[in-house]
Amino acid sequence: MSKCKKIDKLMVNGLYDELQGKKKKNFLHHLKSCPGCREKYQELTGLMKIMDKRQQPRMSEDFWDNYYPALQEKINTLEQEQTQTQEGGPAPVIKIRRPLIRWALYPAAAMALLVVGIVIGQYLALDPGKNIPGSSPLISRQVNPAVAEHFYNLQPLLIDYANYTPSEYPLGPGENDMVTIEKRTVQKLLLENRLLKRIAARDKNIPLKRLMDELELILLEISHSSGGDSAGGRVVQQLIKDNDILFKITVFSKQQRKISTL
Amino acid sequence: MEPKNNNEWNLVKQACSGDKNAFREIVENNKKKIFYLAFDLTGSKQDAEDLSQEVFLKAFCSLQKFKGNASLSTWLYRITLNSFIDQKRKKSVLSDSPAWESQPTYDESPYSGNPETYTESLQIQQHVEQALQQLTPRERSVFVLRHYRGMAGKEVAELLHISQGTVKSLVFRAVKKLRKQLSFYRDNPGKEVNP
Repeated sequence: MSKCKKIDKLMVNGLYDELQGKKKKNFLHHLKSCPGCREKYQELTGLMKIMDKRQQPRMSEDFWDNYYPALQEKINTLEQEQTQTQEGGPAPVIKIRRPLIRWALYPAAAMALLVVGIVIGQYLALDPGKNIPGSSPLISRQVNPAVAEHFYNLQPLLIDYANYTPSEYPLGPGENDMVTIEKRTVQKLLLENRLLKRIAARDKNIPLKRLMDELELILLEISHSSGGDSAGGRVVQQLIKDNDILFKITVFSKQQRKISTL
Repeated sequence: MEPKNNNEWNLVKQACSGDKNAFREIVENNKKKIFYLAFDLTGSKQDAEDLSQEVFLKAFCSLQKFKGNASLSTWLYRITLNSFIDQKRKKSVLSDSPAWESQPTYDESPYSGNPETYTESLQIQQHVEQALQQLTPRERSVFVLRHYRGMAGKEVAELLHISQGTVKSLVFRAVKKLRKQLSFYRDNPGKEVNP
């Protein structure tokens, strides 16, 4: 990496005077000797001065005096709603979570996790040779062919994100290491996913619905991060990896093909 | 872990046990900090009021989750930032264009002093707000904390539960975008411009 690129990485810290010791010395020395970096640094200093011209509004005393009463009204409305949902019982102002109740939740959570693990394990550990309709919860009933098509459309995007390599350069991902997708396409996939999830819920196909839930979360993150957000890209990659999404989709697609050939 | 501030901790305990005056004191002590942070994030008085009230409403509902490991204002800051990012995320999913690309509505401060200086200052503020609107919610949050709140990278990272490297990367990208958006000031120093 050239000296100028290294200095470029330190510009923000230099602007906020957060460099120390040898780094600071090298940074200042380079600025003295390199007209290009010096010009860029001066330009950024100028930019920060412009940003400093932004002022906060001065709010009137009336505004501050009415602040809490306005909030109190919202709190009252919230409490009334809570009271109504509790069928007339008086709603406590604030629910206090007692330590005893929290401890009691842990075994329940462990049991729930165990059940979820068994259900997921049931279809992840499938032997494709033995599972003609009935053995896999995912394919225990005829699934809307639109689901298979949806997975088919999703797969390339998910593979792109799974193989996405965030750039080490602080400017974010470069052209070659960024997953590019139109926001509209993501939103279309998201809508499609939501509709199919509803169908899965209606058909009581819980494992499929769960997979659609995981996919929705991933699509939301992609929708938010599209536009070269490397941090978002890493989150998407992690979600795909942690939930074994590609594996689940592959298993599902294979099973779906088996059904259609029968 | 021992709570950092005993007074705050006592107020929280009282509020949790249903003391509305204690909760009011918490709001009164923090309302300006939270409102101005919300203003820096949204760029509008109305949105800042709505966001800050939402923050206190959320705090009211989950005050028992406050453990006193950090100061109450840090906890409220975290709720503000998360609420802001969530709001923008929801809006961007529902609309075609990201919400942070909508037209800025910078509020004018009351008129005072020289009319020329006032107009120029107002114009710069509008340009700055337009530029800030081009940042993603996370970029804006990090930039606001770093630049307008004077927080160090480490503090921002702890507040947002992200790594220092991510903070650095987000600030870098924010500065790059702002530099591009406000480039006309570099090209026409001291001139009145209409980008």
